[in-house]
Amino acid sequence: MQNKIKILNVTDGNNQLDPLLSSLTQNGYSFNMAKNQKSVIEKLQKESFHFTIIDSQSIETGTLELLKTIKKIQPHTQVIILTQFSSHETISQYIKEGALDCLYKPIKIEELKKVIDSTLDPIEKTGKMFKEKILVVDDDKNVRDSSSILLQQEGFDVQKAADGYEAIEKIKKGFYNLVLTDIKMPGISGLELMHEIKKIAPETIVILMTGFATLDSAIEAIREDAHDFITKPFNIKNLIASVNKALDIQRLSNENKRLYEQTQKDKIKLRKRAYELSVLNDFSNTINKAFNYKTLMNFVIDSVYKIIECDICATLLLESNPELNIFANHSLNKKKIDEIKMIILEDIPNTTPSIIDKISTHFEKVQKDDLVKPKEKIKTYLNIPLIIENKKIGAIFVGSINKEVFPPIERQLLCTITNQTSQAIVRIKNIISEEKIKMDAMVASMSNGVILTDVDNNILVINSAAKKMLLLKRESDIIDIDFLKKNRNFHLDNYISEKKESKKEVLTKEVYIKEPKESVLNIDLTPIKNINNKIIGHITVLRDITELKEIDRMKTEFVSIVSHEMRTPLTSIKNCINIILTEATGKINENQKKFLSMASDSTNRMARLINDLLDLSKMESGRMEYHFEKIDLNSILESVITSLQTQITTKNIHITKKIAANLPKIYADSGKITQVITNILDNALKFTPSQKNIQVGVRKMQGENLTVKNTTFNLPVSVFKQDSFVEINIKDSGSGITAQDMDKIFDKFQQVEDSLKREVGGTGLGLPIAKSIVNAHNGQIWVESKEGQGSNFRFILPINKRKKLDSKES
Amino acid sequence: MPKSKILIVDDEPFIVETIKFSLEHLGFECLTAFDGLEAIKVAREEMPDLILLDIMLPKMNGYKVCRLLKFDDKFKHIPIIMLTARTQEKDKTLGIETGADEYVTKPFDIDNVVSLIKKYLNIQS
Repeated sequence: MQNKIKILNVTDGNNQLDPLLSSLTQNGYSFNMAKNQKSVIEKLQKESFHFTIIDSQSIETGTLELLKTIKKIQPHTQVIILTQFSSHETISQYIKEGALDCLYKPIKIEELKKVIDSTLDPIEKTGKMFKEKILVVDDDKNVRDSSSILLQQEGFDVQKAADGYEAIEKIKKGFYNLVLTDIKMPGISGLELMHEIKKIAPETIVILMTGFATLDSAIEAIREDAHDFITKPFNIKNLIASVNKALDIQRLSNENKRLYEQTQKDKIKLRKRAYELSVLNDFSNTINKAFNYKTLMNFVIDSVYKIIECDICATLLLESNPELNIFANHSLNKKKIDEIKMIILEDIPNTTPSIIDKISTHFEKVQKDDLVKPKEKIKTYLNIPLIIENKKIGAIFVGSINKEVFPPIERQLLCTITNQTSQAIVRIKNIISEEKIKMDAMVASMSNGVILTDVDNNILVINSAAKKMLLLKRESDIIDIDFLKKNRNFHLDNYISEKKESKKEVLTKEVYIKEPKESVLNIDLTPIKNINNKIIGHITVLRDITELKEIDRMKTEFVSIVSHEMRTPLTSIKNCINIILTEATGKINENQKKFLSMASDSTNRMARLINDLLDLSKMESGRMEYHFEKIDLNSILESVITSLQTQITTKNIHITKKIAANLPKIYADSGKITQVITNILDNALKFTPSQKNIQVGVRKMQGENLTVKNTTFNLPVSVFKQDSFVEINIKDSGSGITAQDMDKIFDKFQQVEDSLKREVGGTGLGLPIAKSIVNAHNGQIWVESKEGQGSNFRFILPINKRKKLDSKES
Repeated sequence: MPKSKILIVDDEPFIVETIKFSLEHLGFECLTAFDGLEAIKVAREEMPDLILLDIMLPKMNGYKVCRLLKFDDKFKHIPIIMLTARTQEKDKTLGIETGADEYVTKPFDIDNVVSLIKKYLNIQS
């Protein structure tokens, strides 16, 4: 016989639970009561209990303490805690410590029974073994009675029926494990009865009793569905053996069926559990990879919605940018969303209205398998707060429309998720604060000034270097944009709007500070964008370039003075050589003439170098002045060729000109353009071997896309689409330029192949000057070349005055 | 035809001497001065046909000399060719504005200077 289910009830007796519990005693439960911890311990040490029910309100000691003590003495006793006010946090703690479940008062007996039953073995659940019920059906009273007695003696619960009608009545009223029936009966025959039984109670075993006369039909019946037959007159042994055998088979089959069902149930449970665990595992892994709150909370809501069977799921986090995420399997209107928001916020004390206003809400309808009518109310919900350092900073909410209550396993899961989420928030918080510390330290220690402004141009950060550059006292904390404007001539808001208007990624600017000390600052202004590409502020990096400017000025002055000082003696040398060469002082021989010519050439070269240096220094400092006017490129080209005629004739070089007929006049500085063409043609002459060709072309561009290959700059092709440019190209028959050298030839003092340099004797400044001049005209210059196949220098100039090209080159 | 008188003004004796030599070789009569004040003095006394005038001069710079002469009705007809080592555009502009007729950058080709002289003195070469 089975033991009764023993329950220890820990209460002071005032919980009105007794009537409920006593109703359970009828179902085979036995109760014992303990009023305090001491008595609980005593009782637990004496005997073992299946269950211990603790009424958390009616005991003096802490429920958690008591729970731990109970679990220490009897780890197997299932503890059920009754509570009225405990928070989910506390409940999750109970469950962590091994409590079976917590129930909220008032307690319904069904609820308690359900919880208890859920842990019990099905056999235990029945409380005791049933007596198997047998129905004996025979029109012969003697047979009925004698077999009944025999079976009762064997411990069965036996009923009798005189005919088929009575038997069917009885079978309809209650379940019989076995029916023993005569075949030949008035009214309904045994076989007909058997068919009827199979319809009403398919589980019931039928054994037929038969005389010889009906043996054939008995055999027929077996074929159909009868379990066995006994021939009359039967001996006791046979009858009992047959019944026991049949019932054994039935028991086994039932047990088998039960086990099968149990296995199926377990399988589903296991599968669900495995799924939950895998999602939880994913969850733990992924939340550790979240480095911002948004990613984290998105992931949390996603996981919760997946794991917990719910219709609505919401997460709220009040850190940094407060955000409420809601997922539901049906549409929610604003009112419903606000309801959920209020439920969640109710549980978070001290939330200021300003924070509530700041909460941004994101609702998403996420379809789940089960369809729900949209207007139904939430029947039950769980709202578990996210707690950091004893402060509630958010919550995870799940609501159900169908469920009466979320089962303990889901509560436990949600608690686990909530705990992990809290930890992840702490981790992110630490990362953010660490990042902030690092960033602050970095910004503070930078030698460049840094000013961070928000979208409304409020200064958020200004480091000490910036303060120093703007001549602000370190202590003065209130530095706003207006102060800088009024007192420092530093118009940050203007620079920011200038940045907004320009298409450049970074606005670079020189700012002259006048008061209280003159200085020049270089500022680089960059917008800060959030992940949605929205500008959320600007960062301004300041560099004090006062000294740099001064040094640059001194350099330019130095170059200018030095060049000036060099010109004077050079003039004398030149004149002296000239006097002798022109034989004004008397006849000179051929060798004297040759060497003096060399001296003369050298002085010319030196003079050119000085001029180039001066030009470049002026161009670099931006002090080169340009006098724009309408000029005719053709005549400039002619004059350049004329000025270089000596070289052309000496080397016997053939110059082919291709000048377009309809060439417009262009708006440019005639002297400077002369210089550009001279420099390029001079180069071409130097590098072209004797008796070879140089091609010179000038044409108006005809709305074409110019593909520029191997150039020193990276210019969007579309810039050249318009007809507003003329192109000049000068193609030599020299040795060509390698791809890697092409990047350098427009740099100062670069000449391809050092050996050639000496031979052709350029200053190395011609191309940089040409480039500077072309750029100043808002044109572009580049070279196309292949080694051994000559170089084609090309440059384009705008016909009219126009804005600067958006080129990456300066 | 009497020899044309050219006044050469430069504080650099070598330059003065080489120009003087070249011009005399070509048949010009040369006067010399080594600072601004001397240039004014010689110009007033000798009334040259043309002046080659350096800008960076001691005592009085070339611009001032040029302006003084060009504002004087007695001398304003004398062509003045400025010689300078400075190449800045504003120098050039200033040279012309003060009334100079021509502007030559050092180091110059004596041939260029000669052809300019001939141009202003209306001499066919």
